Amino acid sequence: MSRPTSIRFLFAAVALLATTLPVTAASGASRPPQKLTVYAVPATVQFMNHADDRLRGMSANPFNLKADAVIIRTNGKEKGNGPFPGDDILYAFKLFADAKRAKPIGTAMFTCYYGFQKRATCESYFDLARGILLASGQVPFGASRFTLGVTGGTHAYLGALGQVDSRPASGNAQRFDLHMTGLAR
Amino acid sequence: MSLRGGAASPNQHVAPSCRSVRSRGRRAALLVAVLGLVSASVLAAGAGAAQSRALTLYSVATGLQYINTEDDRARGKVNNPLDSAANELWPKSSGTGSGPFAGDIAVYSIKLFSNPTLNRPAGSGVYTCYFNYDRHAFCRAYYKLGTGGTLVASGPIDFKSSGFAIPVTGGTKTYLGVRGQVDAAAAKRNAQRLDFKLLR
Repeated sequence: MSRPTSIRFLFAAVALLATTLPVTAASGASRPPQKLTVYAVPATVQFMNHADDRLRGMSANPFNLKADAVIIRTNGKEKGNGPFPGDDILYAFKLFADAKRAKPIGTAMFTCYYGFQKRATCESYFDLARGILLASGQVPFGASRFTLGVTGGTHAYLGALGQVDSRPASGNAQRFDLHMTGLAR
Repeated sequence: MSLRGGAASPNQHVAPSCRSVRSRGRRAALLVAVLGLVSASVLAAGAGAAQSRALTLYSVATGLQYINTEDDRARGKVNNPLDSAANELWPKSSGTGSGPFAGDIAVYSIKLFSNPTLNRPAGSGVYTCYFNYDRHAFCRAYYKLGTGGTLVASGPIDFKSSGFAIPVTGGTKTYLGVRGQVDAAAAKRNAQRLDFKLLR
């Protein structure tokens, strides 16, 4: 190899090194994305009916709204069983590592606060042996397919972001795919 | 010897000592280039990397408001949109004993201090805790610091235990974009020690 060629080769190698180094070093800051699949079986379900609070809120509130206007806007004639805005449901789950539910790995709790059109903002936490994982998002009442955003975690899940995909599994179970990014080393 | 730049003619004779000096010069230049690029790369990588930061505070509760939702629980048991299968999962121990019970809410206000003797005020905070079962609650917390900025955390807390660990989910100003964890443990003078591990 001639000298100019070897120098060009060296510079090319240096340039290549320079472009790859940031990626290599940056990946040292957080672990690669992880996926954990858990199977959830409902343990308890509890509904909180806030009908009295809604009624009280129509006549006594700090927003200068007429009760009729509020009822029309919310279409909240309280016919049927809701859930109506302000109601909440607590779902407790047992978590298993496999679809056959032979290996318990923790618990999960969903607290769903309802707004309009029977849609809730649900806050959940997955209490696993290696730490806590938080997720929240919108879930329509009765839906088994939904996606939540992962908002944080502790211990092995420190710094976690990501998403939780939910879909039905066999035997009244729910499958949660926990996709985690940004996990600290 | 010409002082002008440009390559010497192939036929131009170059003394061995002069060739050696040029070669060393090229190597030195190459070494400088390599070091420069590597340094720049490492600095660039460091700028994008998550940085860990620790912060310790001490909190003292200054106020508590308890919201008893007993009527909402009772109404929800008989008037709800759940199907029969879900209604069978109604918790059997719900509503007995002294509570707190599912759906109840506790709001705590706290003062923050930067030292364990609690004489250096560092800010204030609020915990809003929504109870579920067995004296567990999902708590949302914010810590408003006197130095500017707020830290936000949320997660489950076992009220049977004196300590807890919940994720830090964000912050403002000085703490913009942080994530992490806060570990709470009992401290002297009826205070709680809060160890924040923050990642940016």
